[in-house]
Amino acid sequence: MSKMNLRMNSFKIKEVMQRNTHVVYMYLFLLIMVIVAGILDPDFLSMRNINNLILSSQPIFIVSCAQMIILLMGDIDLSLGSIIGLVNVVFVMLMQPEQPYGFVVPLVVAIAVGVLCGLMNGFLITKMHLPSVIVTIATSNIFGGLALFACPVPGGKVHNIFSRFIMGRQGFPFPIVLMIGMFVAIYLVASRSTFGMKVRAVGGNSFAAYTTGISIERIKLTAYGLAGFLASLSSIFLTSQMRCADATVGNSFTVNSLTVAVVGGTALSGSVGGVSGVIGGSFIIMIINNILNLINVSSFYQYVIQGLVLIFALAISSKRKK
Amino acid sequence: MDAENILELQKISKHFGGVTALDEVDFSCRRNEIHCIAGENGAGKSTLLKIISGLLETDHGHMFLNGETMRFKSPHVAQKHGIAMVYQELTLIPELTVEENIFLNIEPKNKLSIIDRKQVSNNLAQLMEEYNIILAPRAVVKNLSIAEQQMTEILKILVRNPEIIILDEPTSALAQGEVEKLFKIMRTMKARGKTLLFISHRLDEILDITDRVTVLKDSRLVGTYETSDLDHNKLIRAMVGRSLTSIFPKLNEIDTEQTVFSVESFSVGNKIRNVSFSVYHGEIVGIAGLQGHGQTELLNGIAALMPHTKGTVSIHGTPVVMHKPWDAIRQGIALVPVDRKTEGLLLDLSVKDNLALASLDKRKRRKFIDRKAEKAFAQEMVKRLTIKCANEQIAVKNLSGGNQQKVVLGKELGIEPKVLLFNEPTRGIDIEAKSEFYSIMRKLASQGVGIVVVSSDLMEVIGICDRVIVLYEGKVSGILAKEEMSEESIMRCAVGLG
Repeated sequence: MSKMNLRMNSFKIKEVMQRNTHVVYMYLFLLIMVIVAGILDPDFLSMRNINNLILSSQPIFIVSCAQMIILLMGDIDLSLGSIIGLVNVVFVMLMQPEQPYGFVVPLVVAIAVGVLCGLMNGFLITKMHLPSVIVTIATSNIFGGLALFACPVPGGKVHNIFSRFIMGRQGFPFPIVLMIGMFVAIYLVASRSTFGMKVRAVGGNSFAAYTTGISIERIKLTAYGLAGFLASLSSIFLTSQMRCADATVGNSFTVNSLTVAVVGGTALSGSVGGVSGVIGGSFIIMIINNILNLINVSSFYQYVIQGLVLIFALAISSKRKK
Repeated sequence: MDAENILELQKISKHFGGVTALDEVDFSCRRNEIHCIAGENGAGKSTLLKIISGLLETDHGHMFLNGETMRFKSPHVAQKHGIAMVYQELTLIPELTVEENIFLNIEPKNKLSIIDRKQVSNNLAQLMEEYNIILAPRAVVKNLSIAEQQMTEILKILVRNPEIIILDEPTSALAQGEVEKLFKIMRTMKARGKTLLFISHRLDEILDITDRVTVLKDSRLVGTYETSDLDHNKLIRAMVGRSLTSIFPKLNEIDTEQTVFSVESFSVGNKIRNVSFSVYHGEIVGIAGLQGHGQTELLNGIAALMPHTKGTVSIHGTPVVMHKPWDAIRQGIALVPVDRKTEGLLLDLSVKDNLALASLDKRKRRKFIDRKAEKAFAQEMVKRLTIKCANEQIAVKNLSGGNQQKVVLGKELGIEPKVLLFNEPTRGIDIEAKSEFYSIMRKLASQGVGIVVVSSDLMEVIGICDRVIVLYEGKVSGILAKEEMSEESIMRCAVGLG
């Protein structure tokens, strides 16, 4: 009996390893990055810096979860960055920094705007039967244009207490609690819920999904709505850190969310991926940026490097497929 | 309406555009029987079953389930009424596990929609025991063999506990031993009170397992027969209106002095080890064996789609060096692949474009395609292979399976091959088209093209090949001459007893 149990256990470990080899390698890589960063800057592993790292990873982590869900479905969302920009502008412009609860209404409206943006993508993709790449490139321009129209120059002010709370400066370690909370929530939705399984089914074989009675339209619409919601959450955290409105703030998030998802083991072909990969991917991207800042690489080169990292990650994931 | 009929269809018609797929077909099925729908390809078998399973809707006619009028808007609705179908197309998610696939959309869950994995495992273990199916529940489906994937499909159907189970050509992709296993499971289903409907092209199977057979021809009903009243010839006559002996062409003279093609101690990784054989002028050589014993790898190795690790290939006695597929093509080695839809054809392009594809460089003026020459080439090929199509401009996807397969062959003939390799050349095509195909193969052989055929259909191997090489675990386990060939002798070698 105990032998049997032992065999079952070792089988389980092997199975977990087999399905998650990529994630295991990614965490090894992350460990190397941490060591490199620690050597370059002894302060890197200080509590303060780790706190900062978690804080600054928050927006990219959340929006990458959105990207992951869309990728699991076999689609791609190139408008997430613009949704972040638009939500940021709406949130700040409606903000009444002097009122004690002047952030409540803007918060609700801003999130609603993000969800609507996502639903609009979903509507065009399901009802008009258009491919997600094209739709989200087009809507990305629309959302981005609207944001610039509403707020041509960066500016505005953010409610101070709200911002401090989100950043964990009010005594409550909100960033860490939130990170864990988001992780658990996304894990349950993407990997343990029937919704997550349906999303993967649609991404893996839509004929199979259809014959098993899954409404592809409803799943896609829900997933895009959810992606819009997560993008707006991401934007809210970003806004609390920047404390102003800037229509272009989200631009780099589209590419970075893809990079994080792919680095984290999400397959562009659908079905495969999970939040445990995405969170590691987010840290990797943030540490790369952190290191680049430490060694004084100009932010223009950082764009180049972000692009290279994405291509590198794609190359690895396509090699793995073979 | 007969009381023992669980399902009854009256005057069912279905049209696709201008094409009639079913023309006022009546069909009935008794409770707890195994009922085969037989007929040539394009006879309307799949269409009929897809209507029953809710994937397609009828244009006219009525369907009664347990005496009640039914009309299914989707497969899901049919499932709710106890009808489930295993389609020919894969309905599994390759990246998900066996148990995730089986329980897709009916997962036991808690209030928050979180899947109860323990419950899933228990239910599945119970079901597998009931039907004596052994599969690793956590294995990822893409890593499974075709037979295992099919078992997963079947479990996926069974877990929904349907009354009527429909299987569309479940055996076409299986080797002999796996078919036996499947039939055992089908018999268990019957013993548990299920009603089974299935399509098969293999006559032995039909006669072996069914209680009744319904034959369709040209979208119409020919008749429904008790299997006990049928034999091979009666069944074939019902399906095509001619008898078995006329299916395979006469053999031709073989000139053993003249070797067209030979491979010498050929190895492909550990899939093929030290295989040697030759093909003489006029000869068709078969490669048989159970699925997964290296047949496909041997052909792919010869065609240089996979790198060979050892050995030589000679054409007309001269060794040829091949590293990449285009080397093989240049040397005159052509392959008709196993899956015409994914490996052989560009389904949306025309018959002409597909035919021209392999030999584009032969008909160019400067750097551009000589459209006149191409058209002439396509028309000649259509005539030579009697490809049935309105004209050569029509998209290949509109052709029947047999004619599509002829297009694949015609494409390969464009390079004027010296050696033609066929991988399951007649899988899923009807008897009449098969017969035509065999004649073409014979004719090519008599013209001096070396022909090698991989097939899991033993009747076909025995009927068409002059010699058969049986593979077992990637090695030759037997070479049988025409007079030594029988299903038993081939199977003995295929399980390594040769």
